[in-house]
Amino acid sequence: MFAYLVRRLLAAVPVLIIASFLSYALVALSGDPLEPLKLRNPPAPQRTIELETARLGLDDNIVVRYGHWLWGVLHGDFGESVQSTYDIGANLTRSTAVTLRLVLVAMLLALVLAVFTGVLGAVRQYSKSDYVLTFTGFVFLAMPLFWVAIVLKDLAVRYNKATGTTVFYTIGEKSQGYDELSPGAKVADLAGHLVLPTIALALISYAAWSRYQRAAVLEVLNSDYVRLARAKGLSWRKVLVRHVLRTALIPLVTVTALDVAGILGGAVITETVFNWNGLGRMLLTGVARGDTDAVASWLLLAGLIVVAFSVIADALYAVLDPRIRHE
Amino acid sequence: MTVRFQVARGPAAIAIAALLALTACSGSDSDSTQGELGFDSCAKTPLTCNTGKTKAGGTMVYYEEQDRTTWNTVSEDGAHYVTSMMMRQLLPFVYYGAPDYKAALNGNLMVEEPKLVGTDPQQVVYKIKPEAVWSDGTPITADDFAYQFRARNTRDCPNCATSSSAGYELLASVVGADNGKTVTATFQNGKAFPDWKSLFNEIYPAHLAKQNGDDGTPAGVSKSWEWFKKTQPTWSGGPYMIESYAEGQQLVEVPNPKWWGTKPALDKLIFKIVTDQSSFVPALQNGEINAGDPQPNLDMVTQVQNLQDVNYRISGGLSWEHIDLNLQNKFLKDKALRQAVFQAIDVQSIINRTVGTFWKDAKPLKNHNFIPESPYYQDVVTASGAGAGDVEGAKKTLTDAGYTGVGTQLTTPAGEPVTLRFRHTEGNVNRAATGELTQATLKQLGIPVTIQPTNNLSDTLGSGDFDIIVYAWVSTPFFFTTAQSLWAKGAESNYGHWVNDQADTLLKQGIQEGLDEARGAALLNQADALMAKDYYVLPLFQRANFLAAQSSYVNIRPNATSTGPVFNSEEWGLKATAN
Repeated sequence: MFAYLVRRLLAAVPVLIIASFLSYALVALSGDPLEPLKLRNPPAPQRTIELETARLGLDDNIVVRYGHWLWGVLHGDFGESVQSTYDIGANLTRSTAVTLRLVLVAMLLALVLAVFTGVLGAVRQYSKSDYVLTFTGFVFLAMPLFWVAIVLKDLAVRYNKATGTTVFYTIGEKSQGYDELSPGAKVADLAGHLVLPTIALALISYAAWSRYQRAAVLEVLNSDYVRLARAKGLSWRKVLVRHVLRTALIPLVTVTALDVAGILGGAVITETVFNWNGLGRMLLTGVARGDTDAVASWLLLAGLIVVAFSVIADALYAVLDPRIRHE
Repeated sequence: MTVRFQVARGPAAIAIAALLALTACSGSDSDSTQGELGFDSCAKTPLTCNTGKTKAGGTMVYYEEQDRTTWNTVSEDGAHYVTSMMMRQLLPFVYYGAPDYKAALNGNLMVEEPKLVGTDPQQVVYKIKPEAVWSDGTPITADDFAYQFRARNTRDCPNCATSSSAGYELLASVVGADNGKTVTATFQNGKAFPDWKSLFNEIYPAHLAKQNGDDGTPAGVSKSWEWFKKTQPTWSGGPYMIESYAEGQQLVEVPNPKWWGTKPALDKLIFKIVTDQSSFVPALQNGEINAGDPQPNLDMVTQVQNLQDVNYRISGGLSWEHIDLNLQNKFLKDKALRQAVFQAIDVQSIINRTVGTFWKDAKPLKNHNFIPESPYYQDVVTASGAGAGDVEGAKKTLTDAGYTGVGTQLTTPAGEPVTLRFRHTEGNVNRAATGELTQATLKQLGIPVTIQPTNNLSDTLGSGDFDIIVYAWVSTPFFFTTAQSLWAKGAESNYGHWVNDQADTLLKQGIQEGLDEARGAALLNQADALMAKDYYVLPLFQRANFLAAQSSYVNIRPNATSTGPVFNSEEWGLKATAN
């Protein structure tokens, strides 16, 4: 199993290099990062343009620039930003921590919801509750994330207005006076900021996952070994938890791991709408100012995360299904 | 100098407003007994509207669409509206852009209006207030002025990448007297700089530069320059100083205890960075922000109109959109064709489809150097017939010039079919609409127009890879420098290669005589009228400026210059009678 995981990781290296080069080239060719300087009125001094061109290596061709950047990344240097004082590496670290907080909590919430509603829908197939859950799932499946986020913000503002409180916050990860709050107030403040984006991101993921979970449980419920277990006199609860659910989780693990890229994409939207200073804003800001090194670093990290979750999924298969472990 | 809009509020803007001149009304000198609460009276009394008594304490959370780019506002990244707004409270300056679009003297720093004591060589004398000190107690002196000069003239520090060296490269010396409280700036012989009021409007502490590398050598100045770029200021020469900064989130400022002017009423001034425009209204409604001046759009304005207890105002800004023709294009070399193109384009229709959707007072702009709020504004366009939407007149112009196929496939007198390309910035909805309207209009003349968006405006302009193009410039009170860089023969920003020797002579004469501002402006308008009749650049409209603030705050008022509404931030506060 270990050798298999190592092989998977090694196979990802050329994929990451090709993907990062393509993204690097796309950003580099998408515009002139010095445009604001050149179109200034009156124009910036020619000397300033020359200094910036040299600093960013814009006189080199894309292959050479990419080579410099990649060599730097391998040595812990993520390159020069268009904004001269912007530390790409430090921002990547900080942004990742912010985004992972959002993504992990949202994924956890979505998984709990998906498993619960998926199992309930399968066990009570074609009941009223199944129809309600199915309908709800499809509603969220059909909704664009940004729209859900905006509706949630609107509802939150209305609630705050109606109650004369500020339970929910619509921008940022924490309040500006956070450091001066008591420990309890800090928790409430973080929760007040986290709840809306988490729900928005979780609802969209949960909708698809619950359908997978429902289908998987239904399939397992109709299998011979479940009937055998029941015939042997095992309790329904024991059969459901130990035999049905464990097996039915495998497809969900696969889907969850493969959906990580999509969730990161969703986080970009969620962070934008709720003004979190995470990976989403870093990407959008980088693209807006034609910051090639910053965007390429971002995409490399995103690729690594996707690969990592894919490998984690492989490992989880083994945990959940001993047959895979032995193979 | 902002970067909110490509060329617009960006760059020149900083220069722009930051520098207007004259009014002796300093930020902290406004009379709190005049004016009316709210923004309704701002059109008539821009300097005193929303004036009220404040109560001590409170916090103002101000919305910003971007984070600051650097701590050195005059470095290569520094010509940035948001950065300038955030740092305005820390930096001493001589002039600032006031809400009436004029340059105003900073009465907190200067004893009196600087005096132009000589014209050959040009010489300006500044008197600094004796009580003006940095937050560590060091007096603000001529040394601080001289540091700006050395860092930005491109000779004393070739590696100090600056956003603009305009004016500084023409200075010969900056020296002090009276313990440094009198500053004399002397220009090089024969080098007039009529926009001298744009100088020394973001002053950094020379004594800290000295402590951090400035030993008088180019390398030393460069080292200190970099230090100012990268080091969060713990110092201040203004009413506030930085308490904390969280990158991408907020900048918190508190009153500077060594500030010698009117003490700020607020306990804290917080710049909250909110990059999603659609978050502005909900956050304002939810009390998470208290004021802001985002780029307006129809949805935002509509929502703000429905909010209670919020003052808002839309007015003309300093950046202006325009359509340029490339005079090196083989078809557009012909003045008759250019005239017909501009005659046919209907500027009012373009306004109705773009900025007019949320700003009902938007009007066609009729000058290339001045906005209507300027005392030097003259309509030089109407007489040329440009922008009138006169398709029949345009057809007649073409027919009279010998063109055939008018209305079907326009053909030159030499028999060549006319086709043109229209370029605009990719993703800019208003410019795309302008292109579509122009395309439809010129089709009526028989000119097929291909629209090609560009993702690299500077290269497109610089390489002349356009026939017709729409973009924006920023108007500024320091109009001589701007006019020279945009319209002079061979100027690097004269992208369409317009040349008119008579106009060029007038332009140069205007700059030469610009120390008499009114005389210089009159000459620029004469040159501008000639340019309008050459059908080179068609002004469209001013971009809208927007400010919304909770009505519980007083003394905050709109300011469309690049200084922005923070020009009097030390006066902001919670209304004394507010609950």
